[in-house]
Formats: sequence, C-alpha cells, structure tokens
Amino acid sequence: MKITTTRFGEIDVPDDSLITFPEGVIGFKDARGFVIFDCGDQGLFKWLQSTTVPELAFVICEASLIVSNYQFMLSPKDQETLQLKSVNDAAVCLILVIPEDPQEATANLLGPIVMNSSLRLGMQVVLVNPEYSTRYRIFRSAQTGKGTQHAGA
Amino acid sequence: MLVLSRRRDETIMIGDDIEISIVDIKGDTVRIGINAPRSVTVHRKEIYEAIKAENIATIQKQKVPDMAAIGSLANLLKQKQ
Repeated sequence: MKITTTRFGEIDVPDDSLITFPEGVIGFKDARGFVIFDCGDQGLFKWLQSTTVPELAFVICEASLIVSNYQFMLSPKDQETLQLKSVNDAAVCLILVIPEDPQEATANLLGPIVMNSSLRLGMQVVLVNPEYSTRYRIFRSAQTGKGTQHAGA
Repeated sequence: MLVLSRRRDETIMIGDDIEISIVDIKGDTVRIGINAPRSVTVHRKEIYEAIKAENIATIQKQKVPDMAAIGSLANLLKQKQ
C-alpha cells in the first residue's frame, strides 16, 4: 500500500507491515494505522510512521537499549487492547528525540509504545508514575528520568 | 460542571458502576479512591497532557537524522551499556 508522509514523501509499504493502534497514540486518537521501518542501518532505531497522518512519525527503539530496570504495570484494559496473554509477546519501545547532537538525545519514559508483536497491535501507554520524564536525557541522566524504578498500578 | 462538597469517607457515584470515594484529606491534598469497570481508563490529567504535548513537540522537531548522527548515537549507547 502507498502512504503519504511528510518526511519521506510517498512510500510503498508491504500490506503485512501494518500495525494497528486501536486507540491511536496520545493526542492522535484517530491515527490507528502505523508502519515500522528502519531508521539508519544499525537495526536499533525504527520509524513508527502513521499511515493516515503524514507528519505523525516517531523514532523508536527498544526500551532496554536506553534504560535498565524500566518497569511498569500494564492495566487490564491495556492488556485487553493489546490482546496480550503473556508478557513475552510484549515489545516495549520508547519514543526518542534525536537532535543534531546525539549527546542531547532524549527518550519519553512516561509514554512508552507497547506492541503485541504476534498480533501486530500497538498502543501508547500512559504510565501512572509521575517520576518518569517525557524528556529523559539519555546521556546526562543523573537527575531527570528515572525516579523510582517501578510504577504500580 | 457539577461541583459537590464531600467529607472524608463519603462517596459519589457516576452512572451505575463508577464510585469515587474521598479516602483522606490532608492540607491541600485529597486522596481519592476510584472503583470503576476494567473498561474505564483512569489517568492523572497532567500526565496525559504532558505526553500529548511531548508527542506534538516531538513530531514537530524530529527531522530525519543523518546517518552520522544515528551511527554516533548507536556508539554512545554501546559505550553506556
């Protein structure tokens, strides 16, 4: 299928690369279709691009790359949205902001992207732990991102 | 907006299945207990708003990073681990 994007123009993506976000992402509840493709050639970073909102695209990576001890409870409602039966099916990713100077890169720990890889479902989870930051400084992080290391329900 | 006064341990009902109780009051902090069906999402509004604002800011400022920036970010992450 062909999709229109602000950053990449019109791109052709395989139909089976579609990931459904039943609730959209926060602030874009109608953006239910996304595709994922590589950002750079490292295999570490991906673009999460909306199929319907051309400017809506995030660079994401696996949370474990950025922070260790990143834990939170997924509410029963969120588990239902993702149809998650086992935590092993859950991929937890963070939205990054990569500026020109990568030393200044930040990650959004408060609103992670959680996906059910086998069913190709995703959502942006709103964590209840207010001590996590939306702009966790990855490389100068002593004070900003991680507060307590778990988030209770 | 409906404004109600409630004392400690008093409850309000929203519809048939959402119960909001005043658990404790200390100074300017109120502890609230919420009983709601699993299908109802309960968030602190300021957290939801912070994520929404960050999403919008992110898509406005995130350009396509050049290969050099991606490469050095990958290296920085490896060093960190």
